[in-house]
Amino acid sequence: MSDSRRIGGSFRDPNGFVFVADGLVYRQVNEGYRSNYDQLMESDLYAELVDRALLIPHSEAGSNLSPDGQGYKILQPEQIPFISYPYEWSFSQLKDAALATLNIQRRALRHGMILKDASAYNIQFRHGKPLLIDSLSFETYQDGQAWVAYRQFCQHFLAPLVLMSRKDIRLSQLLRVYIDGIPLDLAKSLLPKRTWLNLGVVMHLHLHARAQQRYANKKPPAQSEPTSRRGRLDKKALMNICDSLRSTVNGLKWDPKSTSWARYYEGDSYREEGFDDKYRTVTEYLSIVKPDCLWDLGANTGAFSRIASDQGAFTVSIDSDPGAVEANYLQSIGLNETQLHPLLVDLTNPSAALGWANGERDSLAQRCKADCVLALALVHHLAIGNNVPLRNIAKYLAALAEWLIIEFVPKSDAKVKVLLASRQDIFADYTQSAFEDVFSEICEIVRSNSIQSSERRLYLMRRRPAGAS
Amino acid sequence: MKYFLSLLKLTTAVAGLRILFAYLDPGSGSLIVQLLIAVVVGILATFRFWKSRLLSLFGIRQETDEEDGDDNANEN
Repeated sequence: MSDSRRIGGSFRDPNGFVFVADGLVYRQVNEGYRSNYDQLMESDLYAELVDRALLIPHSEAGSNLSPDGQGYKILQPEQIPFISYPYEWSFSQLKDAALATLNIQRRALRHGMILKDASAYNIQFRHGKPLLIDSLSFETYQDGQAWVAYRQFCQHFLAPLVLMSRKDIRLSQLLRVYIDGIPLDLAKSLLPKRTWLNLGVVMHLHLHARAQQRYANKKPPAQSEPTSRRGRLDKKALMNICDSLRSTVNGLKWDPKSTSWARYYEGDSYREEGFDDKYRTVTEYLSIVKPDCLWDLGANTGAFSRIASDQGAFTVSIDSDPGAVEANYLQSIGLNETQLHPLLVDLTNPSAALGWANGERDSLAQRCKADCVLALALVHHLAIGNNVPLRNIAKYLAALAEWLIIEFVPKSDAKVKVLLASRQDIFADYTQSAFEDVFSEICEIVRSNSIQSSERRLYLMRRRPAGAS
Repeated sequence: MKYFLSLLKLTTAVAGLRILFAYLDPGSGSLIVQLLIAVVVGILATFRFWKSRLLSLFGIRQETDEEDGDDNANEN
């Protein structure tokens, strides 16, 4: 294979790695993983997990694709249209990913295997639901063994979920700093005392953190013949631990009513006819563009994202408000939507490239395959709420996709007045004509329509080819 | 805390852990605490089992966590 590239985040596990060749993602199974892979495929575990949409399906590709020529198998998994990370998920997205991981662990144990890692980054959303994308996460279960990935599960899933539920929803962002999950001693120190009343949180988090502290840099006791059945970690005991984790995770709730954005559409942003007119115009623009993949920036609860996803476009519905993203996700689950992916990102500080050599997790822009960007009621938040010059906004948006559907919200609009209420107006250049001039430098304005009952305006723009002016 | 540490010592004294090759560092504390948790949740599971058996003798059926209750989350 002449033109293959290893994925930056796939170097820890010596059992294989992920690479891209000719635009497709492949996974190499190394010789050392042969027996585990064979057991996965022959034990019906693979078929069961794929059948229940818990594991990414794959086909076996030719071994000539192997970048190092040493693969036992080369797998071509079903391609995922967008890779997202746990710090970009809402509370229920992370919770569903945790429950999916535990579900997989239970099924693996029943088939004589066990999850050897429980990384949240191994879970992705396909057709709106979480599933495991790492087919090399399984190993043969050996009687008496502990769950090696227990700590990872608690750091990647349980600690952030408990912090989000019992302390502050914004603490999910700690996952951006701690790429291998939130350290349990940190989570423990941040949690309120009332969490000591929850047995699951006490065992899996508080006592777990203390045990880590107690046995830091010490070897665990070696295997000896157990003196009684009760003192032994058999399969039933691991199932019980798994059930206890499941029950603890299931018991965690978060009510987004405290955030302002989830009820945005119930407020007075527009009069009803203004909303309908905007909806009609966006629908018309999308019928011109016919995108395969659309990113809706500042999507709130996804009302306009759904125009695109209902037309069949894979739609990433991005907002910075945890309540709006949560409401969006719960709605997509309720409607069984397969083409919509709600995502929690603050566009004033979008996800950066993280991890070793900044190559393990891609930045938001690196992951963009959109052919159209929808930016409704967004520009004033960036320009006035965050002081970003219009030219910078134009460059950023035009770099993401060829097509842009964008709304200009003038200073006379009630929402802009709110942004300016407590600060000096230093935005002399924030006018409709300046907006059009700046965007016209990079894009051609294909269509433009005013929105009824408001002074806002919608634009359909197309990026000019490189070199054109 | 002292009570917790003695429980940990007691648990690890009567049981051993099979340590396998793993590319993750499982963490000694994380391995050992599983022994303790296994005992606690094992006792609770036994208690729940006998409680439901006893109640069923009197014709009372309890709402219980289905063994595969989490499956539905991923069924299309």
